[in-house]
Amino acid sequence: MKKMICVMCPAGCDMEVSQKVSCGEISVAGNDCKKGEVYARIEFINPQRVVTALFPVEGGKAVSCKTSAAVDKDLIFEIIKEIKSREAVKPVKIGDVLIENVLNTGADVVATSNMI
Amino acid sequence: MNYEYDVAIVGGGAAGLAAALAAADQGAKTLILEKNASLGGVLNQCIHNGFGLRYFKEDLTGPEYAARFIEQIEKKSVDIITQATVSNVSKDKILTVINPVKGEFQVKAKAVVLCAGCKEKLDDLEKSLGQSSLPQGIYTLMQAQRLINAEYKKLGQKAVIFGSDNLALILARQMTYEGALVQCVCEKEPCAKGLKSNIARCLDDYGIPLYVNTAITKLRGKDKLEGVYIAPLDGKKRPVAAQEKFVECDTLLFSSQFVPDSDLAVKLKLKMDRITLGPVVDETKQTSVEGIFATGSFLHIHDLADDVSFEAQTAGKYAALYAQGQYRADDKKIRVIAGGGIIYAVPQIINGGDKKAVVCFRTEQRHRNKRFNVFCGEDIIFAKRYPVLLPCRLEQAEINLKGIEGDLVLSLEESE
Repeated sequence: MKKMICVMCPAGCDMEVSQKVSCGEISVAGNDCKKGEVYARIEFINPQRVVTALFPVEGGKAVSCKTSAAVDKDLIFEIIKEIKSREAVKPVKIGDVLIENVLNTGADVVATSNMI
Repeated sequence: MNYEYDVAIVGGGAAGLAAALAAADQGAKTLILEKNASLGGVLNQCIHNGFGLRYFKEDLTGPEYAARFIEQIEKKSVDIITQATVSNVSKDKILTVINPVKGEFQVKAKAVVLCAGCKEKLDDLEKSLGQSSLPQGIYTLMQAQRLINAEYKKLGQKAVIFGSDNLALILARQMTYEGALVQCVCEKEPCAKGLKSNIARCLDDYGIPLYVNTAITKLRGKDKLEGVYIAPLDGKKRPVAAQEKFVECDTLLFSSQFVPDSDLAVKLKLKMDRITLGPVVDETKQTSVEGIFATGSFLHIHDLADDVSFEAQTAGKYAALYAQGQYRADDKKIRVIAGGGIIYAVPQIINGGDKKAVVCFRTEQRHRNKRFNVFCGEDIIFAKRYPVLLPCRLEQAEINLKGIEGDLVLSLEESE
């Protein structure tokens, strides 16, 4: 059983998701509406997040960056590690691809601010 | 006089950018005065996503949201002076400005939009900890966010965060990304102040514990912070000494109250709202001084940049119309009064006339299934059911004022 908070609306229902070992059937409890159930199932099977972080730039600076799409939640810290191991060269512009297809996720790490 | 404009905008953050665009769209000669070196305000240090969902129907980070506006502004004939601190605005709309290159100069405008944002009440920190001098390693949330994101400073290895508003939660995640161990988030109230989605995304995702009904009782460390003592609060909000425990940390982020940066409003002697601590405005965002408008967190503390942008558009548009002589407020005034369950409402005044007006309001506490009513005398002229109402979320309602002459009272009641 996994506890989670629904993020679909400000109500933030506290939900419990469980899976039957025998048949793999997933059941959701605690949700007030259908949206919560859909979210809970996705979150239970394959949680994904957009990662926003600071990307090092030469001279001890950093620009903000994000993954161009949501990536597996389990990969967040590996992606952060990858970002922190690199150093971008100035100038950096919004939308510049800083890491292509990061860790084979299919998402790029792109700059979200400018540095001249 | 060095500079003459139709509309002068004080502050180039989310509010100033949207107000400037709207004023320029009306054909007004517009100037933005921004105290920092670049436009965008606090959007530049909000590197997380979640911006623009309403305004652009896209999920953007803060700097990207600002850049969308700046791109549009660069296409218009809007003048921008950065590193420009506005020290005074007079009732006849002469602005005194200080800039390191130009020195002190004056700007004469036909209309002014004040959108200088908000500040943190810094005295909260020492008062709350009951200490006159604090060891190194203690930051307010805004200070911490600026140091991390604008200056790329690493604050420390182990952190405790006191306060649970959205910014506190977002910083817990960001400090984790920057390699710090966030030991816990403490909140003295019985429930977290921020959105539950942020608790899920910023704390639960990283296993960061949230302790509600908990206070920081003491600090350890003379020059440098070594840790904090935390204790649960009893029914009378007193720390339970027997349950006090020590949490090691070299960094403490401290949430203090955000209040409108009201210096210019006070100097102008604008009529102020005791609750919002910002000016009193009408539905065009005009203050008690004709031709002077206020918007954004200078007017009342906002939670979402998108809300700021929509509100500031109205202010910018009417400032331009006022400057062009096409708009004057009429004498018929309807007061908007926050009644049961509502902390405040903005605007506080609506000019008479058959029109629709948007009223924003904030509730005192968390509610489920409430009916929001707008009374005029005994009559309910607007009602809406809200499944959820949260103090951390500004709500708004568009009210049709056709045939309405008396004051409006907003209140909440139970809904089935």
